[in-house]
Amino acid sequence: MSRFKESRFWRLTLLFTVFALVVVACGGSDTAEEEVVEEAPAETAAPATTAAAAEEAAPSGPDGVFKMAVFSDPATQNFWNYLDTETDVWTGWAMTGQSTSLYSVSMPNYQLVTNMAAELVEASTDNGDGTWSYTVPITEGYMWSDGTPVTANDWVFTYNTVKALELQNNWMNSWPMGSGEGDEKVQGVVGVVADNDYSVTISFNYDPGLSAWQFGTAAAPVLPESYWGQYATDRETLLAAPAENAPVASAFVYDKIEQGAFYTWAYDPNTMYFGGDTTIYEAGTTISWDNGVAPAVNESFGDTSGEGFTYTSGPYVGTVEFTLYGDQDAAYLAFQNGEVDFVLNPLGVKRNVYDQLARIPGVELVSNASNGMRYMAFNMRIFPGSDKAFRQAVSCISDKEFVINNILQGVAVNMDGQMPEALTAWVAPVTGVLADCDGMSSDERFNKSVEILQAGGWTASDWGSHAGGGERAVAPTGLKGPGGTAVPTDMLLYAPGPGYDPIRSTFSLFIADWMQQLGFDVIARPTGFGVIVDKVFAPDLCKDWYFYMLGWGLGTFPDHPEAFFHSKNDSCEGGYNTPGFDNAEFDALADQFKGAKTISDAQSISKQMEAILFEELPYLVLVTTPVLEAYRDTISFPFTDVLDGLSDSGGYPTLVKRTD
Amino acid sequence: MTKYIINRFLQLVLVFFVFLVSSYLLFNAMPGDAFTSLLLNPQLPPDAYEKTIALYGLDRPLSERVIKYVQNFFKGDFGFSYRYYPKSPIELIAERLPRTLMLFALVNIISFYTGFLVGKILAWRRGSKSETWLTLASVLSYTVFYPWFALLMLWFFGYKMGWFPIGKFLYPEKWYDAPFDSDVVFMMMIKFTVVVSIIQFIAYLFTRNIESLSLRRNARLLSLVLIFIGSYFYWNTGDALIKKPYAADISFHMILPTIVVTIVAFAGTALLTRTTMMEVLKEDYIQTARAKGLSQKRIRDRHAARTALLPVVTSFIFTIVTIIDGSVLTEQIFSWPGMGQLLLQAVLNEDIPVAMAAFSFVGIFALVAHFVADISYAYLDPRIRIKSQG
Repeated sequence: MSRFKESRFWRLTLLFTVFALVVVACGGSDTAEEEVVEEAPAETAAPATTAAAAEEAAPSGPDGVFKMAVFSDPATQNFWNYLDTETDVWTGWAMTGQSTSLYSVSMPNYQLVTNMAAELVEASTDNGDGTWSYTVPITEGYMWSDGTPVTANDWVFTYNTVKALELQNNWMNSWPMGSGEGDEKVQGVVGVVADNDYSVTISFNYDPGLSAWQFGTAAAPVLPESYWGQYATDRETLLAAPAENAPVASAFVYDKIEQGAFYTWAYDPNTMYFGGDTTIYEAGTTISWDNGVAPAVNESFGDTSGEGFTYTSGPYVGTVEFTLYGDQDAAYLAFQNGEVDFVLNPLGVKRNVYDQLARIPGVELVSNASNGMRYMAFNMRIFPGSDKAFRQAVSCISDKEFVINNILQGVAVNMDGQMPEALTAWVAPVTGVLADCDGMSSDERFNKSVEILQAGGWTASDWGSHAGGGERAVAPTGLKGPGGTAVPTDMLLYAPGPGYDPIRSTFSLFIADWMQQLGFDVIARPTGFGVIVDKVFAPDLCKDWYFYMLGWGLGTFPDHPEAFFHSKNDSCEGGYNTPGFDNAEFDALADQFKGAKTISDAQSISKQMEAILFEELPYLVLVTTPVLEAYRDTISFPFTDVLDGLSDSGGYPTLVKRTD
Repeated sequence: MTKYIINRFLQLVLVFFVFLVSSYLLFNAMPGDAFTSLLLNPQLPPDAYEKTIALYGLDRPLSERVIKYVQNFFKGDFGFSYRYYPKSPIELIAERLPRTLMLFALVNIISFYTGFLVGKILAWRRGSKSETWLTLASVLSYTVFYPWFALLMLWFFGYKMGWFPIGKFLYPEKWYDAPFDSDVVFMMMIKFTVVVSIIQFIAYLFTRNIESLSLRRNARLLSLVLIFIGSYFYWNTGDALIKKPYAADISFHMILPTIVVTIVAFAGTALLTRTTMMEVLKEDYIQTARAKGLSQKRIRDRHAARTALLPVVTSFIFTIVTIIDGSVLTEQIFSWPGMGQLLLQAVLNEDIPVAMAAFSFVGIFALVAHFVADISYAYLDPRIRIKSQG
């Protein structure tokens, strides 16, 4: 008897092989699959779409699939739910064009342009009763994908729904509800009225500026009453309503949704949202759009002088596929393997993977500035953060360039002010100690910081010294604040740990050390991101910390200094002003900024605000990081230089072309 | 035996309550005050605010909150997912469970059988070169750093060789026109696997007492052929025919994770079997069997291995828990969206209701598995029963 016959091992191996093969080997040909599927329409459990059905009848749409990798499931397909509860970036990317708006911005120059509005209305009307209104004509002829026209009633419906059902979070940013009078007054929208089907009047209880009007409510999402009206009975019903067949105002509709695996958009062959030339200038945009179906547009916005480039909108693909991968490693391995064309990644690819991708044929690399910043905040409510000289001394001795170039090997970009460098017209010149200490050696920084403290009324029994070069300073001893105020000991600098963000973690170690060299007992404490957020944003804990490091992702319109530093936004009251910065001059400028009607006015005021921040330093702004991305050469984008990278706009599915 | 079972059951109930309370306290102790994180949103509508407070009793002392949680648990009310609002945690678990069940049930069975067979060979061939090499390989796979190994396998077989897909459980383009979602296919595959396993087990029971080795082998091969033929007809008729290409796609995606986890998981069973069986081989009754002139194979399989199986089966039952928690690492690396990923994402996103529901579910399964292990151990080993009877 052979060994094989004697071996139970082989028999059992055979058993499992057969078992596996039963399932695998019985797989039929593709042709057979299609026939079978068609034979069983009654089995349909997945959401069918109008587009899928229509595509069979009129297979004239573009071909090809644009495949993108994502790392997280969308939490919902329902746009109401997305802005109310599921506000994460992955869910945002999953949203088809379910909403529309009056105004929009052109990419990549972020120029304000019309969307459904027939013109940009920038001047408000004072109604004389404490309200101000904007009356905006809506272009006649636009349709939702179900064939119902886009009318002013959709604006009224959306506003009334947000108000009546008390929708939250991002709905409140777009449709802030105005109420009250006098000290109780909450600034916001107090009414939306349809003058007729193609004219809407939106009223505020104050005279809003750019951030609240052009980049706020005029760009606010609007959804069709014809579909959502049936669900707008209560908040839970609306947020749970099915969205797979919701009408859209774009070229793609939901097609297949397989939770945990992938989801797709399909080209709607009946869409009117395709084609059109967009010419991009440095500070302006020209739109020329006449596809014979949608209303023709031929308009210029902003300054259209100088050289520009033109791209023609698609879609150029029939399907957009978002495939889910468990982590970045698996996603980029699949990308290298050609399984996906692009990886949607809000943080961009890691530097080592980026360098690795550079060696792979067929991969195009992109590096863009990110629209965000990482910073260290001082708690200005408690000593020593409350002392300006202290904040300036710490800012001076912190040699960010040293950390960036010598420790981080240039993976981050120094940032001094609140505005990303890419927004050149908004960037204010650096002034104050940051300008004074720029380029200084370590001993010069130490000596300058000591000078700042002495000038600020600080005393010490021995001011210490710095031998220069790479030596650590001999720290001052017996340090006392102005008026002999004792300096607290065991002060903690909270920062995310190296696993979460090595950049902030490294900075925290160095800045804590520099503060120690200045004689302050500061320890860097690596802390979970969520723990820091809970600690520094909780109103009842607003005096329970000294320093922390976090980061901000910024919006389309750079109005964040007002949110971060206006005294009315103090985090003790639930706002974003975590340092507790309270400066009357700054507050007045911030109020002016909010009321500014033109971009140039806003930029001018913004620079004045920045000058105060350079002097007061509630934040020590640290760095920003470039967004590194890669895509296969099987696709092409009309542009790749764009603030925050290609992922920020979801990979531009309506613009991307297949090149294979 | 009945008294033993009742005793164990009462212990199980007690442990379950301790588990529920301690798991609540652990979540409650999470940094960042996880239970109230939802309430920190100043824009939370009053009704949702009140509902959250009422559901978790957040305005009550800790002792009352714990009682409330236990009550809610038995009502099956875990609230709603913070992330997938307004879905309930139970809905999410129902969506993810079939995917994990299918993969890890198969992986556990394969790794158990592989481990047991390898362990048996190791013990039987003690001192041989093959024993040395197999032991070395087993120890290596038992101690390998799993994430590194899994990624290496994924890179080599998925990217470098291109033999297997890189993660996921399906090729999206094959599912564009699928008239059902993957869970329907998973459920069908699970049912098929269970039925085939039962048939195979029955065949095993009916043939195990056949004295003639060749007759027994032929009978089992016949049962395999019959299963194969039956499977062929099953997958080529009716509803299964429609789902066949999709099941094939999923099965293809299961191969690499199954191989990888089996390589890592079989070694524990193999080394345990080896140790146990080496002890058994020293027993007098083995010498007696040899003295009686029984064949080596019969002594190994019917006398030694059966006794050695006892602790190994117990160990196997304990590992069944991984069928539910789905090995977070495996699911993450292979982009397999099952219970493990759900649990991980829930914890990372502070989706406490989902995390607690998933955690409780795993706990229940673990306790039931231990209960079954205890019972089966008592059934297989009369000494346990006798001891429990006093």
